[in-house]
Amino acid sequence: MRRILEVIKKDMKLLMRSKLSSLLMLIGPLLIVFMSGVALDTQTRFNIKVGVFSPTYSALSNSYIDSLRKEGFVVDRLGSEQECIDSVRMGSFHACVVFSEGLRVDREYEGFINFYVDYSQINLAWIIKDILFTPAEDKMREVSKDLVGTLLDFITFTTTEISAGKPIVNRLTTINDKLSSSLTAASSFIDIINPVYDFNRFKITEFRNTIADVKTRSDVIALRSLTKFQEVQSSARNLKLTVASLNDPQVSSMLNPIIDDMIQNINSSIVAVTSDKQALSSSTEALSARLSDVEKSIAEIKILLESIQASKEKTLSYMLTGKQDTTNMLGDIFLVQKSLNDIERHANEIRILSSEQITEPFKTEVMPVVQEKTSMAVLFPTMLAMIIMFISIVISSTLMQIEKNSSAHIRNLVAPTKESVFGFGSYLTTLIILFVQVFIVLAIISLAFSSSISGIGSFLSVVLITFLSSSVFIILGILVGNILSSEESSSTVAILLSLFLVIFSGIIFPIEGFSAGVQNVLRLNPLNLSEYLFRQVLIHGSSFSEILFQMSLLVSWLLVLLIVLVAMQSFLSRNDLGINTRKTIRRKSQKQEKAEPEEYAKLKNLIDETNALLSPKKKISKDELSIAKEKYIRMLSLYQQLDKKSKQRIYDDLNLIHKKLSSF
Amino acid sequence: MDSKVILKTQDLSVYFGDNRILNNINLSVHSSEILGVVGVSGSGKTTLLLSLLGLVKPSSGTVLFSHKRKKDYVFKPVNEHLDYFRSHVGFSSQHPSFYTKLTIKENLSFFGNMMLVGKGLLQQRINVLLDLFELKQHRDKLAEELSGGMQKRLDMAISIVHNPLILLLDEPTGELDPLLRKEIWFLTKRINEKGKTVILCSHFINDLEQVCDRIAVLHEGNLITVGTPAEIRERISLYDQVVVESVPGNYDKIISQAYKDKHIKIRKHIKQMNYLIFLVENGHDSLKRFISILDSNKEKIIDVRLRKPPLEEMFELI
Repeated sequence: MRRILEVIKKDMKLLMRSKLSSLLMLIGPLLIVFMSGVALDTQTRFNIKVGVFSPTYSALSNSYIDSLRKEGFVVDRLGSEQECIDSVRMGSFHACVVFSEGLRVDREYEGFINFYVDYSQINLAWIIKDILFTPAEDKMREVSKDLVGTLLDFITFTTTEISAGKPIVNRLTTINDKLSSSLTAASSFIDIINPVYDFNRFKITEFRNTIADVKTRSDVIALRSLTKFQEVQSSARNLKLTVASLNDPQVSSMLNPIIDDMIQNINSSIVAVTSDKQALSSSTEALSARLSDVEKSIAEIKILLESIQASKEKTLSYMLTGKQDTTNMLGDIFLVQKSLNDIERHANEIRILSSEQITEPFKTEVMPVVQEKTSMAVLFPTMLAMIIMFISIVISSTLMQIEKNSSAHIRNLVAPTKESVFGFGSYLTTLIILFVQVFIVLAIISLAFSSSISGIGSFLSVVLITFLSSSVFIILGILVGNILSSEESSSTVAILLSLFLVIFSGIIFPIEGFSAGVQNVLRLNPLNLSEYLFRQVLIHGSSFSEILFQMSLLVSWLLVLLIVLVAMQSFLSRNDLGINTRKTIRRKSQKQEKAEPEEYAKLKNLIDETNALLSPKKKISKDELSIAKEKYIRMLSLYQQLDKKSKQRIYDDLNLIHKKLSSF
Repeated sequence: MDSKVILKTQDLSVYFGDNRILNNINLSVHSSEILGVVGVSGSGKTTLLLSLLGLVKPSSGTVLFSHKRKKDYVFKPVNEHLDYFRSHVGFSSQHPSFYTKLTIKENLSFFGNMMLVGKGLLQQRINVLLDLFELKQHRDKLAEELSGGMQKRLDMAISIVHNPLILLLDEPTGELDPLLRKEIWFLTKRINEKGKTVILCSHFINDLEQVCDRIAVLHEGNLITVGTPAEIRERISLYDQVVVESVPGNYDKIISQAYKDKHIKIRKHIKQMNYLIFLVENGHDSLKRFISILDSNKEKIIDVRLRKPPLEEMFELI
């Protein structure tokens, strides 16, 4: 234990007495926090220039521009969209906002606000994008609120109309019922009508035949009568002629008038019969005509009855259709009724009737998990994890290199103290420095930034995370320092390793951008774990049980790295000087050989010879003095050819010769 | 078993890949002696020290240390008792091994703790060492603010903060000026006088002659010889160096003639800046011959000297 404490004391002193190291240890975290604080302070926008363009500016676009100005942006209106975009590309503006022509809200018009930022300036782009969106979102929210207000008014109007229309629909149902009943009754009545008659019952043909028979018979009678009358007439005329032939005037006189009279009568009878026959003929014809009329009427009645039948059927069909329609209509009325009820019910179910609430049902404001107005507080856990990683890797690898490249290393190698004591000492030294720095950073964050980090109370968790993270990174640094033999390569690898961890931690590029498999691997990145744990504890105030899994992953890292370290230490066993140690010793001896070029050896010989000549024990002759001076001139010439280190090494000897020569 | 031997290697070989760094080294270190390991760069000195420390695992062979069990001493493999062994060994590398951003006292305290020194005892040790290495008045200075000499002293103080039995020093005077070098050797002697066994590597064989009880010469991973400085010196006393500097300096001709001269037995020559340096067996005779060669070539002599070659140049010869 005493030896470990001595190693820690030694390492601390070495680091503190090295200006660069002490600067790194004390000023480093302060500087990082200060710079990050200034850089990430979002309370003020330091001259962020925004170019805007719109073919025609509307009240809405002007209002947005005013909002930007109020936010502290320097806003300039540019001549064209291309000019606006180019200004960002060329760096004269940090962002460009392009509005659609006369930005307005219309049914047939789709407005837009396009933001152009330079994503090659990653951080700036995100910050600007974030800030620019806020006023735009405010404006869009206002417009949405108006539109939603109109929609809400319409809904209210609709529900009112539905309420008024519902009794009408009810009445329609009743009417439909009545109509259906009427139709049923009418159908029954119509159905009773049977417009069918057996017109054969009139026996028109028989009647016509009878008339014809009468006519025929009357004609026969008349003909016979006429014939008889004509025979009688002829007989009378014959009698007259007979009487006339008797020439008996008396008889003539007496018979002639009778005969004439008789003939007259007969003629009258013939005329009468003829007339009767004609009258009968006319009557039969009239009767026949009447019969034809009757027949015609019957045909007409028949047609009429047929048409009535067709009408009846059609009417019944219509009535049936009408009835079906009324039934369908009733169904439709029910549907309408149901729809109206549904609309009314749904309309009544709309609990939020405030356009403000509908356009922004949830407040998207970042709630005060962290009360700070700057990004510093949000990024603080990330910064803390990064500080721990950088300082751990750099200091531990540097300490290993200081030890390995120290002239004292060989002495430590021959000491009966195990190398693990030195390693553990370096580990503890780095850990102490880390804890001091974390304390400084926490103090600064708490005081200078008036931070109210919720998890600050969980002090033990912070200490544990700091311990685990630091340990993992310190051991990584020790491994780097152990594997590599030169300080330069060690520093380079330490920085590269740190960069690798940062790049694949999600701090710069989101892990979500990688494929699922890679993401799972990257989540095991110790920096990622460390950052996650600090964020959970410091910002979200997570309890120990909530971060147990990530904690156990860090512990696993620690165990694996310890095993690797122990395996490596046993491989580079100091019993055989170790590969790297041997290399270091060889390199040192090569350096030494390098530092002693031919000129150096010659100069050293000359110095030895001159010292021998100028020995104070004997008296020096003039010749010897002359030779010594000549040698001294050669020494100076050789001295000029040496490199700086060799010059430093031999300067005292040369100066001594100079002093000796000067004394003569 | 020789009770004086505190540490030894048995057929120690170390390979880095296909490169053989140490080859069958058999070396014994005696208690309370100062053993110098000398060799040119790349000869395997540092690897030998690291192997002794157990920091480099032998490819073959073993490093054994003497461990007192009851009354007897037994040898145990260093690699199997590393922590125990290391708590009794101090090590100082060529370059100061401490934390430059810590003060002298903090460095001593830290490494004392790492070396498992008890809290009360550690404070006493720190005070003793601050006095011994004359660092008391600078104890609260950061190590990086110290001069090169003080840094080296601090490094040595740290090496013995746990009062080790054996102290291993890798090139302790490598980058120091002669005065500081002497100071370090003085301190090494003082440490040794306190009963510590010191094993040190250096390519300054001349210095090692002054401070070491024995010297082991390594060359290309092989242990060439081990002996007292006098023994080593004797083995290389046959050779001299002739240093020549002349104008106009037509050295190629001189070299050619020198090699042709039967009276001059040249082992090798070096052309260094304006000098020609010859490693010869018979120095005095050769010097006369060189002067005559220079004269015959109408070279104006600026410098012709005879000197003993530095030991490092003799490793190959040994």
